[in-house]
Amino acid sequence: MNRKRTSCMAALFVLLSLLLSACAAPVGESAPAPAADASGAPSGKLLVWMQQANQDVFEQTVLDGFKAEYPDIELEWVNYPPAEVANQVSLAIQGGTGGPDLAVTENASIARLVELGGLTDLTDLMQPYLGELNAAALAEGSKDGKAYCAPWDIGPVVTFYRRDVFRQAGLSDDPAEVSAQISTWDGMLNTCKQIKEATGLNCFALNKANNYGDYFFNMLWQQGLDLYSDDGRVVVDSPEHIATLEKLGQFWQNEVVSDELEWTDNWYAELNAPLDDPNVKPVASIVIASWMGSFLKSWIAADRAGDWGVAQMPAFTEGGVRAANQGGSCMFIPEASRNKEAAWAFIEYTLFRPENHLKHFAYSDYFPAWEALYDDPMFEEPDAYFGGEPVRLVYAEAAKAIPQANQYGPYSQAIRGAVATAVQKYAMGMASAEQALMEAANAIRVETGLQ
Amino acid sequence: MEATQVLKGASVKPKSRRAHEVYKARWAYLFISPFFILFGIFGLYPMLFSIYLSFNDWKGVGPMQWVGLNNFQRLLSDTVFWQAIQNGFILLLMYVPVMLFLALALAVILNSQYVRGYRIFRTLIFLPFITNMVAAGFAFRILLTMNNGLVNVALGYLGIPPVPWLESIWGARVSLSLLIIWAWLGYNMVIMLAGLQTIPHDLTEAALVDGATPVRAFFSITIPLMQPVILFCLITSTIGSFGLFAEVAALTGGGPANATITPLIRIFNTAFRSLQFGYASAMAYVFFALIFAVTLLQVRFFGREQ
Amino acid sequence: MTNIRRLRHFLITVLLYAVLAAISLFMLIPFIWMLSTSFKLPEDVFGFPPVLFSERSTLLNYEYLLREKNLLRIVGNTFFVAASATLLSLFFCSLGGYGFAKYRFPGRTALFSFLLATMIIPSAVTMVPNFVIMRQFGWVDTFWPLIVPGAANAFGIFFMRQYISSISDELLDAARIDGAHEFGIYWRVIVPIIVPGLTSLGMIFFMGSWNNYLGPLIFLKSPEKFTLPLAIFSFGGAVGLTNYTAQMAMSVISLIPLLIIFLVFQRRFVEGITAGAVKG
Repeated sequence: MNRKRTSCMAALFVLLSLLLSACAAPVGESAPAPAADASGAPSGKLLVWMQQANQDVFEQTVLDGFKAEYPDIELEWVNYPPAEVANQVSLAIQGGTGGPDLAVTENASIARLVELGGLTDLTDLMQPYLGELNAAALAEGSKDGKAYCAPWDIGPVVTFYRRDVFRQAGLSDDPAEVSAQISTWDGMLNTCKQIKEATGLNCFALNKANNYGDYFFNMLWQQGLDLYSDDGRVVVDSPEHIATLEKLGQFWQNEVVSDELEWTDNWYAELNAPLDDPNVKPVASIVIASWMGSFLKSWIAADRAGDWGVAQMPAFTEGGVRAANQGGSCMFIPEASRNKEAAWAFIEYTLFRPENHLKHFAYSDYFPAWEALYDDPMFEEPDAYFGGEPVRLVYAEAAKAIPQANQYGPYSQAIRGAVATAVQKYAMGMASAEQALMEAANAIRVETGLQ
Repeated sequence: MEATQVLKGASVKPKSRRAHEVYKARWAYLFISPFFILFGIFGLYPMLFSIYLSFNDWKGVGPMQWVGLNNFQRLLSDTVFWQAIQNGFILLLMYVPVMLFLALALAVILNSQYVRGYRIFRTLIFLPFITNMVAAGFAFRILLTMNNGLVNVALGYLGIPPVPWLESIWGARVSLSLLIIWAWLGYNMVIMLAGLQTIPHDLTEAALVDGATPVRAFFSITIPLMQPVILFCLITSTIGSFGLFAEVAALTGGGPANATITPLIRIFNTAFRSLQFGYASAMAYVFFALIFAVTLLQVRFFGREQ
Repeated sequence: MTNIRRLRHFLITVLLYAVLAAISLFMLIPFIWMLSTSFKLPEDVFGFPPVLFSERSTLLNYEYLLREKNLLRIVGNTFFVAASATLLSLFFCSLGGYGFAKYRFPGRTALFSFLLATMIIPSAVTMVPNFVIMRQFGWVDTFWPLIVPGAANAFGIFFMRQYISSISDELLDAARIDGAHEFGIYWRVIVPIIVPGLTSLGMIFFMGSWNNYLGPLIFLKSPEKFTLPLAIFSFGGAVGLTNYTAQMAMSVISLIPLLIIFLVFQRRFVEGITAGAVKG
């Protein structure tokens, strides 16, 4: 008896390994039909993935209203760094489990997810608005005429500048005059030199070793320069691209920029430092998309109210386009979402009701991709943080002028990664602009299979 | 069952005897079977599947597309992959000699009668080994930050200008080497200590009595006798430095300009970031072949007098 | 003459202590700084001059982890994975080690050589296909992939075989004569004897699992399933999320259990680590 029991036990334990692995039936939850109560109003748990900053925007503005209108929807938030949302969603799609019910990703990475498949087609739901949405942003999340991502915002690039620094350098701090002063990148360089000479301060942060390539991409975009052509060729090593990188290089060569890396503590510090800070040298400006406005206001430079102003970005050549797109984001619902109705309710409530969208835009400076909003009088309102300047008009002017350029697409991560590496190599003097970009082009061809 | 065997008897004797032996040892087979079952499912099958994958294009979902040797061809011109392999070698040359020398020297010091507090020092030096490398990597990142990081501030007091630890090619590689030495020195030292304790004490003592200096005794007696242990440490370090992942991800993220990217990171990114499962599998196999060759070479080269 | 020898001896001793002290300091600084940062406010991390502790030191970061970051859950996950992986591995490895050490059977040498040979396979080769397999099993975003595949691993079996080989056969034969069953012998005779070996090996397994980053990175998706290394990493990244102070607080917490285990069982731990290297 005892003997038999032990032998059974032995067999049992040893077979444990088999059993554990043999229960090959997927244990993923059998997706329940989207929950809806008797009245048809969506209800139930809604798992939302977005970066912390985006969640903050909603919490500070429209979330209370949403909860009041949909009391039965139970929101659950998960925050990832912005670029990581798409990575995690694609892993969830590949893994067949563990994804969100609703998510926000950057426009730069949406095409990759669309290409992978596994997102809900939103074309019909967005039908009333399709014609009014920013075409480039909509196209980024569309394939074969179907739209998979609801555009939230685009990233019109402008110049944020420190009024106090400009004044101390003996320059005007009036937005229109600053815009004129920095009408081209050459003008910007001269301004930087003047500031450096007069105050010893750096013009903006332009890290060498780990450069993300953002300034370079913005300078390409404003010229309408692609990273890959419509017929699938890699074009990052064209003479125009090389000339653009060399133009950017002048800021390093003239030693007018700081070497802090974006989104690190020391970078925040120099954006927030007062003129007389004993330890941190403030920077005079930053050329970046409008959404930076909300970050400056709410946490990066909350102490500097009144010190920052907004001007247009410099053109590449005199009279050229003074606008580019950097980032922006959209909302999508994975095919595996367990609560698509609640997810759409959230999208509809936050993005496609003018009063709500304008409310969080006013807080966030996330420039709406929904063009129907642009005529609202709130665009002319002054912004106290920016010294009473009506900054939304500056954003809007840039938004309307953004040229078309193939900068994102399904291979955006690989392409931009390789180009950023090229910028780093060039910045550190390891290669000429031409050499660095040629290497990048070849690396991209190997990586993506583009020509 | 035994009865049938008896009946079959002499005619098939060798076979039945073997069967009998197998039957007698059925418990042993049962006891060792978990390894073979699990290896079959999570080792062998994936390896074969991976070979198949390496001839395909596959995003991880949707249909696979047979591409023959295309993935391997691509690999030949994949500068980032070869950069990663090259980084593995550079790192290896940077930290392994320093680390193994330090480990051996420390082991000898702690094993000598010169110092007290053997246990305290051993514990302190070994402590980093139990730390998870994500935590350690970020701690190093904070310490090595260019502006106002502790290390650069300390150097500043000595009149040395800020060092771009994580902002330059070689700075990043040195930083990574420091992290690895920090983490693995204690491990190697402990192994060397154990090795030293197998060397009879009288051997070195006799040499010292005969008038050899301690340094000479170290080089002519300790090192040769320790050769197998050193080889073990060398091989584990080699395999380790090509397989670095958390350390690099936390400290440098592979930058700047891919100067610290490792093969494992490249393979991970190709599979789970660029969604190219087939290409990543091809990479993994080439990588496997390479470390296998390097390990063999090391055994041939350093282990030949064994 | 003796004076000179004594002086020399003294100088050598001083020199050796200096070397040891310098290296110990190098080992300690990251820990000290981790601890110090975990008590700081974010704006003081790169304050000048750097200070270890000040009147601004605070427990806020730890409170934040408990309140916002689901700290107890994450520690619980990590412990659950590490403990179950360790116990399961110890069972299978000691059983396999016993099989190889105490039985003569056809194919033993070949099977054991095969087992040893599998140790050279780098995880990189099986990483991608294993993800696909786990997906087929429905195991993505569960703890199974972190527990099951390594449950009977070559190193552990090798280690236990060495350990069990030294047990005398007479003991086993005596038990057999008393009518004990083969598994009963393992369970009642072998296991009690090999407890020290199991402790050594168990600590290695536990540490490996506790500190594992790549496995959870590939297989765990939902933040409520995260383990400590994954959670620590998730503080890093762009746009304001490089919350170094909270990150270091979580790092400190991730260290404490291993530190305690290590300090209590140090001897066993070191034995476990050196056994494979020196004897093999």
